[in-house]
Amino acid sequence: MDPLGGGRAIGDAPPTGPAVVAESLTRTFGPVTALSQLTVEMPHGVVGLVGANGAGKSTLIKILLGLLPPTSGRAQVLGLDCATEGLAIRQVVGYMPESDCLPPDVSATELVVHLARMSGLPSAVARERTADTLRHVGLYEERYRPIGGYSTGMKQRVKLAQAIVHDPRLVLLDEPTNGLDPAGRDEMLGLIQRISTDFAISVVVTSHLLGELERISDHLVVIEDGVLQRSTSTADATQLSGVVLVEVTDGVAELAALLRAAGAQVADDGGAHTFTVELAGEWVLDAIQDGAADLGVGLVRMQRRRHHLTEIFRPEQEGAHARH
Amino acid sequence: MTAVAIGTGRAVRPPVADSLAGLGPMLRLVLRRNRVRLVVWWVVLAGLFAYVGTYYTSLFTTQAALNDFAALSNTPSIKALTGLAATPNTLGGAVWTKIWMTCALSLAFGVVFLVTRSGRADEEVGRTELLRSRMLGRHAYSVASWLVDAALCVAVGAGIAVASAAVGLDPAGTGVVGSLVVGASVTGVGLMALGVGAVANQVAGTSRGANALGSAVIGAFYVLRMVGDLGDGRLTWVSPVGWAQEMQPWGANRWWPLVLLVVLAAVLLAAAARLEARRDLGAGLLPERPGPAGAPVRYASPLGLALRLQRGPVIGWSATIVLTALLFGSVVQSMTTLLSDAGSTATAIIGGTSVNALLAMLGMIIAMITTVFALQSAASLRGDEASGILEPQLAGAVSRTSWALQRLLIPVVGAAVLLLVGGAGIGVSYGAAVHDAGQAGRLALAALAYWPAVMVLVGVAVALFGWVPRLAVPLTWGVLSAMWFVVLIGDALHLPAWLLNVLPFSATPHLPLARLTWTPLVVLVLVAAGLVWTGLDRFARRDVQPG
Repeated sequence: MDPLGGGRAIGDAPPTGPAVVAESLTRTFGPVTALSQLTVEMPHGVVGLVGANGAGKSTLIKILLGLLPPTSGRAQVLGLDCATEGLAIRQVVGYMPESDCLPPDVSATELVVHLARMSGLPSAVARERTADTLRHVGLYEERYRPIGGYSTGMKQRVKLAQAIVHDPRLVLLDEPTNGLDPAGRDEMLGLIQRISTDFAISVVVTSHLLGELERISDHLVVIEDGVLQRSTSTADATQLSGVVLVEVTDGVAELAALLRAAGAQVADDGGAHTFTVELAGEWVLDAIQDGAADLGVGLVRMQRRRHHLTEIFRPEQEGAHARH
Repeated sequence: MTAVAIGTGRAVRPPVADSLAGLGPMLRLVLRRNRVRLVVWWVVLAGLFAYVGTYYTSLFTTQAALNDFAALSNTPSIKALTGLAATPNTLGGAVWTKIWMTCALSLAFGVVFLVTRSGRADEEVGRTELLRSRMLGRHAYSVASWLVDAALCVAVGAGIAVASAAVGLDPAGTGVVGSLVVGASVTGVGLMALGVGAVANQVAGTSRGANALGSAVIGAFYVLRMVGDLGDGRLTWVSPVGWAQEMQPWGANRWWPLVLLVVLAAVLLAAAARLEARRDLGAGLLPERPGPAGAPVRYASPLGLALRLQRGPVIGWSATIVLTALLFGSVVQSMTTLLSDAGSTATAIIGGTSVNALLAMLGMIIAMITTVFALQSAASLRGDEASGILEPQLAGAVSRTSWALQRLLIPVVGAAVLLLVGGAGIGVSYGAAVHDAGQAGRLALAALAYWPAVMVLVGVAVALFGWVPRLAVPLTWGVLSAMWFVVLIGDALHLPAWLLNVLPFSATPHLPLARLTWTPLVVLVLVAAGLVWTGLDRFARRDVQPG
């Protein structure tokens, strides 16, 4: 990293190797096990870390930052060991905490300048970067006012700004959309996506809302009660399913009967004008078109459905709950 | 939790220099966030000493006047409350008797609060974690805050020394040794408190707990030296506050007790750093236990919930009162023996009622401790409003007035109980020494006479809660501190006598020294009721304002 330049030169080689590696990471708090034998690799890009409240997401982040020693196992961030090289990690990593932890009696500019200087930027550079970053996250004149008077959305923006002000190679964002309204959520997700695409900073973002991570993540890691449930690329997880949704203007029952007669698996999906068909082969699509033409009904849509993440993870999560 | 942290401590440790990385920027942050507080503490403490010094210089122009003042100061009450200077009949000695203990203790408490503000309070809300996510070593924030607070102690001591020398408290021919020693003794107490506060911040898991623990230790040091000063002085050496007293400016001018204080501070700071290295960020040493799965029905009422929430303070203050009262009672007898040895002059000066005067003064200290408890409980009305616990309670079938009145039962009834228990404690322990079982009842009722005065202050807290909720908590404590200040140094401030006499604690007849008169007590109760009424009336009409 070049802390003075503020931004990597174009043409930098893309980072190789995983951003984060955990090997049988375990962390207990007295009788509570927060993480249990967690082994996972997170690639560069945007990684979504999903889990219910109390699943162990924040504990994992603190271990990765080197702020919390693991009970056993080891972890590496950008090739640096979390147990021994905490300072080096924190030099190249940004962190957005979950809690409302901003001091109320200083302004956003003061705070972010200070944190930038704590990351090693010289004073003038820290000021310039702070102005740029706060503008980038959408804070303008209000950045000179004490943080105590900010709305939740503004506070979240300040927390995001301080995480990226020193141009880190990786940012860990803990529940960045907490407490935001739907519009604020969309804006925050957009900002996070741009951190990855515009600035080439790798992102690990946690949330208990799968839906919003689905939109921005390249890779998903699901943990439940400190145990890894799944680690998969978003594309794999949401690949096309073998089901076609058919919507017609009329004659649903007739068309369905025709298709069944042709040997297709038809399922009622509850809609008055829709049903789904198992896509056994290209011939099924032809049969739908021909059948509609023969019956003289209007074919409104034929849509190949994608798996929704929530469907994919539901069985695992229910399984996890059932163990209690 | 700590066992885990210690277990992993065997792993490879980062180099020592790393643990202080980022110290420079952290010093700037601590100074920035505390700049107003630091300046206020310095101006108030150094200014207070300078003011009293100037005033006494103009007041005591002859040695005869100083001798009179020394004789008047030589009472058990003064010895207990502020200590008596080694050379009470010098100008410096008079100023020391008047103001040294106030300055030293204020600095001690102030330093404990400052340490917590940059320590446990920031850790509690996750701010330390935000800072530690930069290139900040494990100890950098703590060490930065300790350095700034230590600098405040040195600056206050230096200010006092300079003020003392400038006013001319040093007798001719001694240079400024006395002034230097008095300044250094205040610095020493401050540094000791810094160590106490630092350890308290590591041990307690919340900022309130850290402040309470640190203050309790300072308070215990104060009481220990009080017992020592009332006796033959040997026990004074048990207390670090006593060490600073025994530096005896303008008397023996000792420097070596300062070494004791600095060494104690260093040991405590080292212990705090060690604890910090061994525990997890955000965790305390006192274990966190899982609570029960259900809650009893009694928590369903505002009173029940408040009792549960204030269980710690209620138990803590009760224990403080009982221990302090028993300790007080046990020294009264030995005191009176000393007094009678001193001969008829001393007895004459304090009106021939030495035991009763001492008992009355000790009863007042019990009342002061009770006031702190009652105000803490009353101020929690605002505390619960700010933290958002109030709103869900008001969403239930309870009116605001009923909620507040139920909450106020704790300070109202609790204060009465604590006064009775405290008075009885002094009586039991004193009665055992003089073989008079009747003392317990007599002194319990004598202490209860302060109940109306305590209620007036509770009334002030409620009125502030109603009318200026956002400022209520600091103003409540401000009113109490101002009252104590005025009682202690009101004469030096040239305040009119009627104002001093109308203060709740002055207006109360000082039983058993004075005769019981009902008029002031009834008036105080009416004033308290009026204050509570206006506060609750306003609270019922205004908006609920979460912090």
